[in-house]
Amino acid sequence: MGKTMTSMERVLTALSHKEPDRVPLFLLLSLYGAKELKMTPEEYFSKAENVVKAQLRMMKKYPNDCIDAFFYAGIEIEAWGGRTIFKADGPPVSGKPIIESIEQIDTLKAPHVSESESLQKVLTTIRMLKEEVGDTIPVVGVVISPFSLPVMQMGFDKYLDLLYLDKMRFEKLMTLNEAFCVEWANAQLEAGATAICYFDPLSSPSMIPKNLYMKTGYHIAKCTLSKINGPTATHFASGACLPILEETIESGTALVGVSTLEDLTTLKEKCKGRISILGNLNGIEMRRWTSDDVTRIIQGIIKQAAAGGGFIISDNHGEIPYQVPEKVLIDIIESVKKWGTYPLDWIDDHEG
Amino acid sequence: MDNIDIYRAEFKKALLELNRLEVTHILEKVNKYQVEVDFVEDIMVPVLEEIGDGWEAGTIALSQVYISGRICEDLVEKIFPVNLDKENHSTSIAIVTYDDYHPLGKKIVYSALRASGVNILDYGFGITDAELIENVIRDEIKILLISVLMLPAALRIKELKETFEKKGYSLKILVGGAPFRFDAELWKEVGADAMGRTPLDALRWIKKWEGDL
Repeated sequence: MGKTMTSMERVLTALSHKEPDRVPLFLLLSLYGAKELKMTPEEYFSKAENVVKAQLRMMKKYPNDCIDAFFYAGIEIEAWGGRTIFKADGPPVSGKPIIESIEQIDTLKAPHVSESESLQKVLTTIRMLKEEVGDTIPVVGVVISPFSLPVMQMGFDKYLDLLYLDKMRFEKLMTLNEAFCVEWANAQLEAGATAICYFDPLSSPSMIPKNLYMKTGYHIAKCTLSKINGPTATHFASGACLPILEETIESGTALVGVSTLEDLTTLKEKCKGRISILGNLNGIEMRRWTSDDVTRIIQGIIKQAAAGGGFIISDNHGEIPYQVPEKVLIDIIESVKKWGTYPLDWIDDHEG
Repeated sequence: MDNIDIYRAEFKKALLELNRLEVTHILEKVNKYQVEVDFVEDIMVPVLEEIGDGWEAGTIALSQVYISGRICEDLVEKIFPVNLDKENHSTSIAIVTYDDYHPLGKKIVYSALRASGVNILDYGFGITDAELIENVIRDEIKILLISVLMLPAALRIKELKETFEKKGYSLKILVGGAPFRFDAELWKEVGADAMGRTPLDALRWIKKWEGDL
């Protein structure tokens, strides 16, 4: 048996499509930190120190292979002048859209990261976490793609009207969002993030047809990702990606977050040696998994996607729900250690 | 292929291409040459149903479901302006986006139902539980459609249902939205009477329950 790798070594080996000591596991525990510190989400996210404390504590309690520096999606909207609604037991959500009429786009200006207290809080968190963990474990930063951000900036229905009916204003908004996204991603990398997760749910074929994606989200992703000065993962937040997988690979991203609703074996066949897969545990069902469920599910996805590396186990939405019991997380960790240790000889034994 | 199938195929194509002109043209053609055909019942509703099934099967995108519903709703309002009066409160059906500020799911179902000739009250989004309960009781709603985006909102439906029970108010609750798509058992856990995976699922449940009521 070889030596145990650090999380960073494990992840980098998997991303280079080789087999590390075991399958890496990303437990994306952002809001879960509030539960850990027994704080309301509002109190928890009010200080970088809280997030750092919880992340470091959870790194020991739930040993996995990344530190999640993500706060909540709406924090980017705070930088644009919007406000966030905090709830007792769920992710904070964006309040009233900052763009109430499409004409407002004509005079809209993109904010700068340095001017936003909210974003500075995230950068402080990343700096402090990096100082603590160095290069032993990846610190993951997050941006919302320029193409998906308007769902929060203006509301989904208004955004669809813009997308379909007002090409000029759509392009103006994309120019502003792209500048903001690149600045925000690079600021996180400079602060010490190892990689950036590019959340782009609207590009998923679950959300818009591929022909529209080819004219919009695809070009925006290619252009934006090329300006981000570090490795990226593209996440469709549980949306489908198979029909646009080739384009996602072409965009230059290293890792793709896949949905539990798509066939993992097919995804693996298409991704093998070309792009790594992040997924695909069902975070919603996870709340009521028994230990037996965890074993069956972890064995199943390892069989489907872990051979040859290029696979990181994670939930399919990008965040472990607050309602998932701690016991389930511990079971997942233990099960990945037991069944995910390379070489995966047990698979041949099981299949007789 | 029968004429009606040809019209359905043309209508579906026009909707998915968001071609409003072609949609109106097909309506005119059907009214002129197929007098025995009821456009809404025989063409529009089955096509919306197919589009909903396509979303469920992963072959049609959510944006197409939304825009198709909107186009059909506008068309029905042109054909039957009186029947679908938005101020008409003579209905026992209502819809709400629960505990969230993202009303897209609700709008999709609302448009599809109105396009199918169903009168339905829209309670909007961002209203409190107390307001929702007061509205439901005041309007004598018997079927409440609840759309949610996030898991915590879905779980809170249980408390809402219990509040109605404590007040002795009986109604059917149909739930829909992302958390229910990812956990097929969740609707039972929250005490709903059924869940809808597609907009036209809502129509099927409404027809069934209206028959029972």
